[in-house]
Amino acid sequence: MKIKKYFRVYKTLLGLNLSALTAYRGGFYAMMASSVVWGSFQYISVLLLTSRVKSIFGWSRNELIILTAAYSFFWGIFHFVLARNFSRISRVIDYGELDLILAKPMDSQFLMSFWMMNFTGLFRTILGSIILIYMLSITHVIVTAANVIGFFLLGLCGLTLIYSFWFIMVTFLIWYPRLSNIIELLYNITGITRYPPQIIYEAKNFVLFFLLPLTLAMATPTKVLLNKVIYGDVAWLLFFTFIFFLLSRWFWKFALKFYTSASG
Amino acid sequence: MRYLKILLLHFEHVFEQRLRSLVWFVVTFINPLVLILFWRGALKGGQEIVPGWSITTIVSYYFLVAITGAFLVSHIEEDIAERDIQKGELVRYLIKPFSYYWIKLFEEAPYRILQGAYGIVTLVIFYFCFGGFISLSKDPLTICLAIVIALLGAFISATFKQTIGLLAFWITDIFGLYEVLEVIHIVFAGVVMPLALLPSFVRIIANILPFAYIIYYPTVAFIGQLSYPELIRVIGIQCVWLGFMIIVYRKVWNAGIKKFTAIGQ
Repeated sequence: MKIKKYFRVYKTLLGLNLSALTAYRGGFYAMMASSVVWGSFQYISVLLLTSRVKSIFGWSRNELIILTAAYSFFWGIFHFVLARNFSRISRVIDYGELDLILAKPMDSQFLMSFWMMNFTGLFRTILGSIILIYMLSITHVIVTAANVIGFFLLGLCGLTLIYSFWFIMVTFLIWYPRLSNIIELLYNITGITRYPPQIIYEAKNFVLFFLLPLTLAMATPTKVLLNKVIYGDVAWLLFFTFIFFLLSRWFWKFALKFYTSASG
Repeated sequence: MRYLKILLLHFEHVFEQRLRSLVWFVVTFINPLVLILFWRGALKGGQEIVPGWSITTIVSYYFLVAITGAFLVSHIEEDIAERDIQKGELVRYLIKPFSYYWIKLFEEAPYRILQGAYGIVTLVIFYFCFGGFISLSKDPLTICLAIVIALLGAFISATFKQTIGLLAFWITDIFGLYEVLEVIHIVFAGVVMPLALLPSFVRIIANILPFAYIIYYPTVAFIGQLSYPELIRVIGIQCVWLGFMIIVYRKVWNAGIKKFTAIGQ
């Protein structure tokens, strides 16, 4: 019953966001250009980086492009559903608008995470899926239905992991509301999910180990698609997703105790 | 003297938000760090990818790219476009007896200095901890010429970004254009990888465009990858680019200011 209510609210939010999209078409075109440009940039950068090397850590050039395409596919979904909400959080906290959200008879984390949508993110998903299909066909990888289902399910786990990591980080804005550029930092840090996890393993640097869960987020579903999966990777991804999600919920509730509602 | 006062006033503002500046510095530092990790994997055998580019040179390169990026690359365009032109705040600059170009330059300088200082502190720490992975030029003349190249790079960046910001006189929604230029800048300035490692046709384009003279050449100059004639050649090309950009800036400013209505857009 409760879930039904949340779905109904999300449907309403979807409608409101669609109306906003038609009202501000100029902004939509600009965001679309941005989405396509950054989506293309990821392929350009992987093509440039692999122009001098055949493989890194056992990942061939084509496999790295497939990883980038998988990243682009899921990252588009992240942009569509979540990304804009994180940019909004600092404003909501800084201007003392969080009161309005806390007063609503719904979960505040849900309302903070799903209020806004960015439809242009879907262009990145479309671009990613086209390149993914093309690369899989030219590399002659045999993809079964189980691979595809595994890819989607683990990809969603990866997105939940990234979402939880982001939410934990933006929760710090309760204490430092002016630190809104932390979102830019998160975009940059998440870029590491385009690379194989081995770049962190092999660095053997404990400072970098906090990035390890993130590198599993996109590499594990890609490995499922390429039939290269190691069950340890899947187990670690599920484990980190579960822990990070619980941590994000706990930390948000804990941080709310320090929210003064006095604005920045 | 009066510009120095503006600089100092803005320093106060920047120091008020020093944690924010630190986050911006870390933002510029993350991508080079990831690329260092990538190349460590790619060059596992310790071989040189092209003559003169070993893992040590590459680590030094990306490290300095993070610092030069923080120090030299201006981010004034959004401020000019959104705050000054679209919200109409340009009017308060027009009534002051200062050049708009220089005010904007001095407004932004404290941000660059503080972030560059964070970079230098990081470099010093890294140099003492992992000295073997960093190689910088020790020749005093090369360092002096590299400083000149860095300063010219900063001026090219500031003039270019200010000109881009002024385009808001004509374009209401300039966000898409910024994003396109940002990607072009990242690819051709040598942020993704050094120009020496790029495919030859990309390298040729990069050498024609101004972006490499903002990040790539100051960086390789400090590493000591350029001979004296090459350093002089780079300074010459930078002067040409700077002159050209100043002319374009003036033309854009003179044409744009006639369109400004002071009530915002």
